[in-house]
Amino acid sequence: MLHCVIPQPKRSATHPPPRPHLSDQPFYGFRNSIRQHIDAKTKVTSQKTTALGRSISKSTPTTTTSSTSNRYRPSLANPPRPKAKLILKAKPEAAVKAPINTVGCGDAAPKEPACKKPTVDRSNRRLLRPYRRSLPLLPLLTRSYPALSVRLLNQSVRREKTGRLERLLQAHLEPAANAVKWAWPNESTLQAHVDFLNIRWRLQLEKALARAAAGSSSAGTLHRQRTLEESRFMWSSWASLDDVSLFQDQLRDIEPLYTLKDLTKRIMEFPVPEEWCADSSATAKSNISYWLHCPLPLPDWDELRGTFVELSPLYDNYCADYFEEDYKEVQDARDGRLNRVLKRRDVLSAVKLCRLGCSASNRDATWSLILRDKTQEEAQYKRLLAEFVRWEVFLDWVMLQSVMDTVGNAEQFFNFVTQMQQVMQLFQRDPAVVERLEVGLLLEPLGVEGEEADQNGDEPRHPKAVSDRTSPYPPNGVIPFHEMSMYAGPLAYVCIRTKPCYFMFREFYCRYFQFLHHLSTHPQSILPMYALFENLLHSREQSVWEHLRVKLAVHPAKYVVPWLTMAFSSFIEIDQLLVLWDRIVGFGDLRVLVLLALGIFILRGKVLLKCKTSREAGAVLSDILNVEVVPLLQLALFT
Amino acid sequence: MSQTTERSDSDSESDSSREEEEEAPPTVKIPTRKTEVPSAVPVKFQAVIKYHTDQGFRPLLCAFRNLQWRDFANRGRWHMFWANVANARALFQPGQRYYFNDDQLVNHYQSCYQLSRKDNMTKNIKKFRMEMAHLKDPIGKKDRHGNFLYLDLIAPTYLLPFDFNTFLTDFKKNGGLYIVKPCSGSQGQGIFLVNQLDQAKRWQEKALAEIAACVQDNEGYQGYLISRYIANPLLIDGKKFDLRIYILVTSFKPLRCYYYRQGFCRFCATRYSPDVGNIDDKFMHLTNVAVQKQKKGYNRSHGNKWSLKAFRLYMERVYGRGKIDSLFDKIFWMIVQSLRSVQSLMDNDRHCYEMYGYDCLIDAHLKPWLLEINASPSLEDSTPVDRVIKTSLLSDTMRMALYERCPHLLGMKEKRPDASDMPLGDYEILYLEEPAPKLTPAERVKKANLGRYGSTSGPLQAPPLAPQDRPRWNSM
Repeated sequence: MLHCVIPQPKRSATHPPPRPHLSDQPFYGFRNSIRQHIDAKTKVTSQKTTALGRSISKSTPTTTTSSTSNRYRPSLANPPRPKAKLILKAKPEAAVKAPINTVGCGDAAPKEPACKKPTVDRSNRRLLRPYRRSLPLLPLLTRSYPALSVRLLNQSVRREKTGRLERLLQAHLEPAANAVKWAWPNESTLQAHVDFLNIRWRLQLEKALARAAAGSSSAGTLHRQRTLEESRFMWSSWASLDDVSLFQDQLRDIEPLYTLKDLTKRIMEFPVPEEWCADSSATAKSNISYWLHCPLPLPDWDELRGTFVELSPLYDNYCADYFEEDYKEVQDARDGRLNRVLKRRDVLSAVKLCRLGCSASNRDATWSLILRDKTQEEAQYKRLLAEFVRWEVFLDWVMLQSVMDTVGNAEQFFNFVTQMQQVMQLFQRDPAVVERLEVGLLLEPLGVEGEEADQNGDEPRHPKAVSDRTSPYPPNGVIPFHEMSMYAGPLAYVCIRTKPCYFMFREFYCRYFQFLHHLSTHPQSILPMYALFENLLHSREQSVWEHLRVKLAVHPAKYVVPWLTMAFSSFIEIDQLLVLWDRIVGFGDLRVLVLLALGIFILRGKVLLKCKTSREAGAVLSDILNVEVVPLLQLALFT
Repeated sequence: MSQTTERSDSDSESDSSREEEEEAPPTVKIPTRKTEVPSAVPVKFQAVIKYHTDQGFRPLLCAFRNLQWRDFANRGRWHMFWANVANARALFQPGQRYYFNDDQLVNHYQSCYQLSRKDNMTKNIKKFRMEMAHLKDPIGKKDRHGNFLYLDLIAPTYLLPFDFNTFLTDFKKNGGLYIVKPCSGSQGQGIFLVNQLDQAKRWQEKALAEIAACVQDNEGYQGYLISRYIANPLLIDGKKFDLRIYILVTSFKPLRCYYYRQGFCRFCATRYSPDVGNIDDKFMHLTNVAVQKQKKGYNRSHGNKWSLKAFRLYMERVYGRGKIDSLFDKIFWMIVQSLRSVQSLMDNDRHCYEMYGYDCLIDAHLKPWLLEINASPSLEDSTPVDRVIKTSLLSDTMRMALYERCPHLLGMKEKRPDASDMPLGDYEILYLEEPAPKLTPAERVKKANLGRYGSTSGPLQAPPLAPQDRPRWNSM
């Protein structure tokens, strides 16, 4: 009976009474349709789990939303193969045993000192290692992590025990996984593969999160209520969040969970079938992947030109050029037009004018009119502030450190560190975000147990706890990467105060940025956008493409993917960046970023062709600080 | 010769990052910024230009390399000498004056101390506005309290020990914070805030003692300035800052000056509070990089420097475009007037040009104040961005100087009359005065009788920059 030895956290008398932690509940995050399929197979396992004394039926949420279930439709045509089952049986045992032996704070291992802080193996960064071509799913899931937080490990182990994940994936990947040579004839198989990678990535991230939490001063606690003193302290330090010396203890061992580099690597080493790069000899040598022949439906030039028709030189595009001869006159005329539109709150006209660019003084009003719904904001802001004072999320510390390391060191943004800290702290705990996530959330977010009952009874509850006892973790469902706060940095130039800046950022994130760092086949997300870039570059500047790939063996993704992922934030100068984001807001289309990346390659094509080593090409592509947005977009589209 | 071509090839490829914009012009007619060097400047200079320098700053050496000039290495004659002030002035020493060829340039004027020493600058500006008022020039107008309307460039400043009594009247009338600076100090050394009379008196005694010692030892006297402290500076993120703007002057008579687009704001690390208790906190009050560097936790990746472009964007968002346009107009007005104040004192040597670093502070009412003018602004590269800016600043500066003084070195037979071949780089024209017309002997006598600035209608007087005549100063 393996299941009886799953360790319980020790509750010593010296410690405060237990606060809500991660849920002990098994993972519930699969869609109803799949559950029906799986329940039949896993009846036995479920019963065993129930024998542990934790009720599964209570935890199985009835609130699995219908909106999420549409997103994820695995093909259930092929039943799982018996071979896979065998593996499934064999591996989880090791996984359950490993933490018991290594993490010595459970009842099951009484000989170990009870409250010994688990030692962290910081060199163990295998979790973030990119994928291989093969699909080593099970070894990865069942690898033992010595410092894993007990509760989280239980959670993920139970996921494995129930076997639902594997079954799901097996059912999903049946044709692909067993094929000797991969072939994805259509988009849906690609979709399946991307989903699979996403699930694996998410599990890796959750484990990394648990490890980080276990190694930090919060000792594995991911989410807890602050004490009264802490609440007071946090409230008093709200205006000085840039002063990290206040939080030295908490920030001691904090490291980013994953970075832009990891994201880039994920795309560069995405396992693609060889047919996609049939014409290349370079890919055979290296394990980098090209997207030229992927089966995604990509727009052609005419479609792009039709979409972005306002970018053509026939229109009067504003490109923040203070040095134009008639700068003042043009600006005054433009401002007058925009002001009239803003005055009568005409959203459609505002969108049209925004496509041509806004001036610095009008940008806030225009973007707000287009994006924000101001009616709810006051109440939401107050609630978020209250939550900030009341609840401590482990990711807060990760985020504090990340903001200091990225925004705090950036020449363009260092004046806005406090504002960015506030914005990101609010963002971490906004439940409105998780409802609007469209990609990358194939797994339900980790659950955090709601407060069962308050000691006094009259204290405000955790807002989610009222409805369904579990709330996602992190509360916004987004596990942040290191450079995430750079998304918010440019908005400090648009919105002066924290409140509008936060809501602007939330809109930007939910509408645009969430697509940029999640793998998905959504046409706005990073994979199809990068595929589009390769296609456009190939059709437009074939010599550059060939030169880079064959002669220099430079993967353009190394440079382009960070640009796209960060929406060029911190890569180009701030006035030009806002001109670019004007177009994103106006067109509502992230493919402007692809066009700019293409424009940069066209502009530097001649220099790139002269390069003889990959290092030189890297030097050409790494500094794009003083590019001009509008001319390059026009160059890419209309020449 | 083959050696140079080889080097130039490898150079052009390795520093490609900033230059390929110039190399690949778009094929369509597209509005581009003027960052590109005009095509009239040939890539290869006809003459081999030799430089000489007594400084080893990295941006300086990078600039020479980018320009593809050669070190003169103590052989032959240099064309461009980038010197420190002492060495440059040594060239003009009476008796041992360096014999200049026509195509030799040095980067300082002999009398640059007229601007760069704080006491001289104050004296010259005061004298200039007195003269303007005396001549009934419209720019010398005063309001009914006796304050200058257009020439209120510097905070009320007094030279210790000589102006101590004037200071006393001012102090008794207004009170508040005053700041004491040594006249020729730099990098924020020896600057103190005082708010009580006995502190000021102590400085007065110190100045008197020093002057006595100087008389005894027959040495140069340094002196101190005491000026009213601008206690309500404009704050961004609660921090005080000042602007560093680079100005190139290629000639004082007629005045030809240019400003550089890529200035920056220098921020304090500590949040500002006007409390008297904090007057000893130099990290709160002094923006000099040399001071801020001493602070624990000084950030080396941005060095508390914010680019002028980002500053302008942010300010336009906060205050609207009109106010910021007028703020920059005021700043450039201030710069031009401070240059005009020393116009007659500078030796207008045709082998000289100078790049000044202007420090100006903006107060909460968006009024700029001139703090200091550096004749040799810091060329240290404290951050990566700094290095890029200063390298391009130096190469643009030297190219402009060559264009103005010896265009044949740039491979030009003669300049175009409309100056469309000016290698501005990131420079923008600030003020180009018409050259003075040749005078007949009778006019010369008349002018001599009229005094230095001539009559208000005379030909020599620079026009009081009317808004429509001013160069486009909104452009930073």
